[in-house]
Amino acid sequence: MKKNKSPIPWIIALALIALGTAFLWHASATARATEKRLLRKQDTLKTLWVLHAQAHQDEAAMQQYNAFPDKSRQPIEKLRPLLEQQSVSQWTPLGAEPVVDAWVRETIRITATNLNFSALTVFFNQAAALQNPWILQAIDLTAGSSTGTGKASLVLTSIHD
Amino acid sequence: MKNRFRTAYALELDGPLAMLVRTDLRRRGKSRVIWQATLPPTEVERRELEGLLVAAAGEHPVFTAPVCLADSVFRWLSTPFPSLRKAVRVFPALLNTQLPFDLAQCQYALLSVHAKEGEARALAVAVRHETLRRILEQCAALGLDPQIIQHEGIALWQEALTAHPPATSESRMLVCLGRNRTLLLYGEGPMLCGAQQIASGADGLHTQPECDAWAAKARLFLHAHRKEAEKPLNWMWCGPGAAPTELRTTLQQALNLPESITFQQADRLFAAAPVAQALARLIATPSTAFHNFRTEAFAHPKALQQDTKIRRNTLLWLYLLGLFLCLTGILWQAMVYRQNDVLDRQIEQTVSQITGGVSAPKAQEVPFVSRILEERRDTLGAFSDMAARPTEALLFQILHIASENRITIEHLALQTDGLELKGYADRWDAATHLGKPLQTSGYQIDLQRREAGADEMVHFTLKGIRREKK
Repeated sequence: MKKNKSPIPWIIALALIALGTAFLWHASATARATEKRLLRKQDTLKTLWVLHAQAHQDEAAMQQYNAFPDKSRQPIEKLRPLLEQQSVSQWTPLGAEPVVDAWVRETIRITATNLNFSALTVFFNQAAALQNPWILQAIDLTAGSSTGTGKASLVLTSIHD
Repeated sequence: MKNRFRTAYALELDGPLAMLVRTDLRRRGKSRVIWQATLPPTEVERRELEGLLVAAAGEHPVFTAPVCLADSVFRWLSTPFPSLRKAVRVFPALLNTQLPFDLAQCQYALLSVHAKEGEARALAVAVRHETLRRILEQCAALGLDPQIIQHEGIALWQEALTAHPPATSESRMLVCLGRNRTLLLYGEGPMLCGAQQIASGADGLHTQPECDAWAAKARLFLHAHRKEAEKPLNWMWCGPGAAPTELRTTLQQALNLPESITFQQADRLFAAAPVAQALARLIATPSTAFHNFRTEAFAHPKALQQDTKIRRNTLLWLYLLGLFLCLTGILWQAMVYRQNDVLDRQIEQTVSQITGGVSAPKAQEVPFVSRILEERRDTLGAFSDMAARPTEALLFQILHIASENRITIEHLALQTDGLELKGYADRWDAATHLGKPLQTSGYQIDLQRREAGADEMVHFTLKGIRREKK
């Protein structure tokens, strides 16, 4: 039996290994080069998701307003008795400014002396329950001589058609 | 050579006497003569051998045969320079000059190549191609096809070194007294210096003149190789004719050697066929002295098959390795690109969802989208602020913490961009509990406290400015 001493199969095998090593090296270099870029893109994507959630939240809030059957101004004045059980309140409109489309934001200041602060919780909840709701924007409380009472200055705001 | 055989069958040729010896190669197992005959064998003897070989086939043994001393060349070569690399290139030419025939007509080996005292030295053993063919034909006639053909002198010397290790400075004369021939091996320490065959053995040494003639040849050989006469010499007998009988005594007397020479029986060698045992055991022992003359044109078909199989398997594994590396490299690269593409697509989709189909410039997606959302926030933000009721939430949080920490609030002014809170508590650290929720809501706070006064209360003023519009 003659021994086949041709080096060609070995050369081909070594060439294949060299080619494979080159591919592997190139892939490794590509991975190293793109690693930072990929991490940056992942961070970008995460940030975009957060922004998307915020945008979605904003749109959902507006859609909620659009879903109200009555988009007109809800008279918060009807809640006035909640604040005047043992005090007198003064209601001062602070004007309205356009928001978007036909929506406007109206602000009102309410001041009351000798107010029982515990009434505020009920007042705020009922104001927020109106459709369209009135929410607290700013508050200034000064304690009076009796515990739980004092002077209050409230700024409330509402968005309506 | 790495041994993968458990059993060896070795042929020993003692003149016309042929013996087949079976040796267990595991842990220097025993040897046994399983067949012997005077060549050419009779039909009965041939059939007996055939039967033995058929039975042996199940053991997958290795078969080995000797190149006799008389049929081979044994030479020490030396060069006047110590460089082994150069010397190895020179030795074949040097051997060629010492042979009566062309080295190209031989299978040869250079063993024990070393440098000593400024010289490079090597032991050259050679056998002519026609001799090898004759040996193979002789074996084939007996139904044998040995995978290994070795130099019998080297094998016997190595076996004696293993069985009877010499002292470092000991000179040794190993005499294998066969039935029809005698092998003479002289060495110093572990090194074999000379080898020669005498064509007479125990069966031909009946008379004193025959013994004297034998002794004269042995003495001539000894004096030719022994450089220092005063150095102690150990004379070792082995072989079937070397039992301590009258013949041995006669031969020792006929040698007429000085009394400093000690005679010893190599009783650990196989008495009946020491050469065959040596041939077998050298296969199992990793040794630089081993050389198989069945190479190149004389290579055993099984050895060639094995080589081809190993070569093919190695090639196959190398191809597979190459393919694996190629595929891994390509796949890895594809994965990286795909990962990049997926991220690009996701970013593009998210931007489109936020902006309502408007694309952002590459690597500018976040600032682009933030700008758009910032513009929208001015309008749409108002609606989500209404839903969040942030001022109320913060107010009730402040009141809850004040209640838990026994803080009395004297004045609280809370707006979207700032706050002021004045009050007092019965502990110094009570007001600090108000800090956390305010900081979480984006206020930068400043807390001023006074030591407890006559009312034993800690009065404080907490001011906050919002850092950014939430």
